[in-house]
Amino acid sequence: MKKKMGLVLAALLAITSVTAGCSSSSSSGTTAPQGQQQAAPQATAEKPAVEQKIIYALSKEPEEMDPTLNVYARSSIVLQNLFRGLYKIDESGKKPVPSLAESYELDSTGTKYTFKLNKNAKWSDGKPVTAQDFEYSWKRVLNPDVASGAAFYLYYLKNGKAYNEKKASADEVGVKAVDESTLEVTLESPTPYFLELLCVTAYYPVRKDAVEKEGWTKSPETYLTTGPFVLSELKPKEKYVLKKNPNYLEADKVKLDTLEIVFIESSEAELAAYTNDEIQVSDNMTPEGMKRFENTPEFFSVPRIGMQYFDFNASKKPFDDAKVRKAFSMAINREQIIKSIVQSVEKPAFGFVPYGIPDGVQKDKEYRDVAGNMFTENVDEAKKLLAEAGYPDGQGIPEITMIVMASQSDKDIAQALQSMWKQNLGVNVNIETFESKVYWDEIENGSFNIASDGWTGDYPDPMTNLDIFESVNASDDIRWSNPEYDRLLDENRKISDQAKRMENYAKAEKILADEMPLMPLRFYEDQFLAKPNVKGVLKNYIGHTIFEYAHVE
Amino acid sequence: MAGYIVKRFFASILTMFVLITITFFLMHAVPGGPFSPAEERKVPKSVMEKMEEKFGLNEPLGVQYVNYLKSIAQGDLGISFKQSDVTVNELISRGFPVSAKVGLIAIVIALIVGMLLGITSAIKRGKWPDWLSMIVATIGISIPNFVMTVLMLFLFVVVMKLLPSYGLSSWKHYILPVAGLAFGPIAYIARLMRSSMLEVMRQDYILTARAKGVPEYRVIFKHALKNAIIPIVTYLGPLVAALLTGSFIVERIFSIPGIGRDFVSGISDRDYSVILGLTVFLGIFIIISNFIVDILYAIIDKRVKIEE
Repeated sequence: MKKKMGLVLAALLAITSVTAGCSSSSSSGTTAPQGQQQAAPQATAEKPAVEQKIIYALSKEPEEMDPTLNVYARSSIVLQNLFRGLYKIDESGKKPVPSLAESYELDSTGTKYTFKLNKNAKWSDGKPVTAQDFEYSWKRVLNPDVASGAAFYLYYLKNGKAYNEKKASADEVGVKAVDESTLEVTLESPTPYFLELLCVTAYYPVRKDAVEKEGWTKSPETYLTTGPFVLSELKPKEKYVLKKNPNYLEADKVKLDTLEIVFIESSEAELAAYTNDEIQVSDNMTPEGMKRFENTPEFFSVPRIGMQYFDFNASKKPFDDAKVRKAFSMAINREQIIKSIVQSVEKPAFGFVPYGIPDGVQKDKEYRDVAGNMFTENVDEAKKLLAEAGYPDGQGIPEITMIVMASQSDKDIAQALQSMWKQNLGVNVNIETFESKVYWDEIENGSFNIASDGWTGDYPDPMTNLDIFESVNASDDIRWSNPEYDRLLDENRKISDQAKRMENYAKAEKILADEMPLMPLRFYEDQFLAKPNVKGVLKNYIGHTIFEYAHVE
Repeated sequence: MAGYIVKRFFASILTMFVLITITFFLMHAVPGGPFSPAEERKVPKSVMEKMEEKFGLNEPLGVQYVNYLKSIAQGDLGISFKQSDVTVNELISRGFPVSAKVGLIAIVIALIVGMLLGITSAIKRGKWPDWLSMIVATIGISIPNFVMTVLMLFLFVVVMKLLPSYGLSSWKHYILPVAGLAFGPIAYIARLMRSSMLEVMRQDYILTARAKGVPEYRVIFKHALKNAIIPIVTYLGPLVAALLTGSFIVERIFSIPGIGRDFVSGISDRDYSVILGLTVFLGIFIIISNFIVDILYAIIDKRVKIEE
């Protein structure tokens, strides 16, 4: 009964969401990829007469404006322009640099950081940012009474998880303000990507006296920030107006005076607004918009540290056999799916760690490029593997059910895969769709053979994309485990020798490629449009749009 | 009359109670909750459970139901699960005036244009004005409004660059949403008006008026219109309720900060308090507007007697 009701509801929703898709055409795009530009190029000359104002659209109002409670991607975009923490992602969008912190010291165990705060770091009301502010904020995130969804981001701190689960007291948590400008942080284990983690909104400070005011995030008067912008006007569901924060540590470098964030829900309307010059930066792109602007200098596509993939249920026949899993993964054409179905310029995935993550040794190179492809597509080889597994030409293979979310693009991809497997392996695959809110329960129930899945990491280290396949995390989706894989990852949590770490990651990836418990499809990229006179808009590796370095020519 | 009002009042309360009860249990019967992941899984289960606990979702359903009835009796519709720190009362008091304003303009325009088209059609029956207005009306009825709005967006914003695409910051911003909302009702009213006008014009008293030498425009606007308008009044009740509380499609496409969108996004987000709050609000609204229409009936048409 429950399931039926969900289906009815999903059908209703699908009908109402027809509006979103009704003007998108289905013809295939055949344009060449634009390549990966990181940000709009910097300006050389400046005309002071131009108003330094950018209007940027988000699909909806941010859900959460308190960084200590935030887990939402959309809210993070707004918060990343309003707040800064100890570290921030630099102008290249790739690596962390000091922000409110000046420097840090790491002890020999690799678990104890001592941060020195910059003495000039101020709140937007002019008061200094103190180490106590950080201690208060981090403990707020973990406080079980606050019940913040973001708590797990701070489980790296010593006793962070224990405190959140009421097994330790707040005083035992590994964060301590030694004095006004010294913050001592103790971690559970050495975390070589801790500085990157500090750029996640959950690590940003909020001030106690502000937070204690009822509804502090709802009015510009009570909303204190530490970043390049302050909130100056808040019109629910309509727009948020951000102004330059004169008290920001690097205020002299911020050129933009006004950032207006308007809320346009339908991507067709957003494209109309962009072409009509009502907004200057747009990142909710339709395939049409992509086709129209793909080859113009207004179009940017930036790798995000995430990937779309398909889970194979390794606990059920026929995917309990690695040969079958490999056969399925090798028998498809990723390039074709990306070009004609997804209609994007993204890259096919032949590995498990996406682009956007620098190599630990050759820091100016992508990890992905250094590690290389982990497997290839090969229909003949796939057929052979399937025959070896006991299903020559797909004969005798049990019924296979593939589940996907009820979005148009997911359904299209599923159908393309279905026909590729039919054609190349002679296997029939049934497709079942579920509404997004019940989809993950369906995966957990395990009644599938193949399931569409996806993941975007939080920090640019391969760990963020590989730890989801560890035994502890994979028990309710791919249902696969490999002791050597777990060991490699575990070792990488404890050591800081980057050469060894990269070697371990490559080994771990190789295990995934040999065992193929999941089938990588494409590495995500974020596309956006910026008017030719708008420069310096930055998309970081998680897909957040940052305006700190932007200006209008 | 007073007895009738009292009777209607108690019937309304009963209706609302049934509405709340059905919505409450139906909504909880739908799988997935406000904190279930939607796009990607991110938040660990233990953290999710803690959030559910915070909003009282771990209580037995019966307890949640009684708690909800208690708070609604005090006029408190609860707090949104999805938008932190926003109460449903706030959501409605912010969004409803916006939706109502656009809807009201659309109703007025639909009434004026629709009635004029219908009257013209009726008195020029079989001639080209009749054909023309009926073609317009047929198009209006057969093309769904999401197609119409997207078409208008494309034509007037993207191609002609005449009108703005989002928000309501100037009078120009109202043109497309109002047109999108009014188009269907115009068509419906025009057809309704035409047929009822034709029927009334055949009545004996119109013949009498004409025989007495009353000028034609007075025959139409004074004698015929008064009776021909009654079906329109019937249609007005649901129309007012539908347009004033906002349209999901029009509000979504033109990014209007009304409450129409919340109905649907509330359901897909499983934002229980928003779903219930808006249902209650819409329920009350429909009951009141139907009630007003019933009263209006009696005023316009003396033949209708409200039963005591």
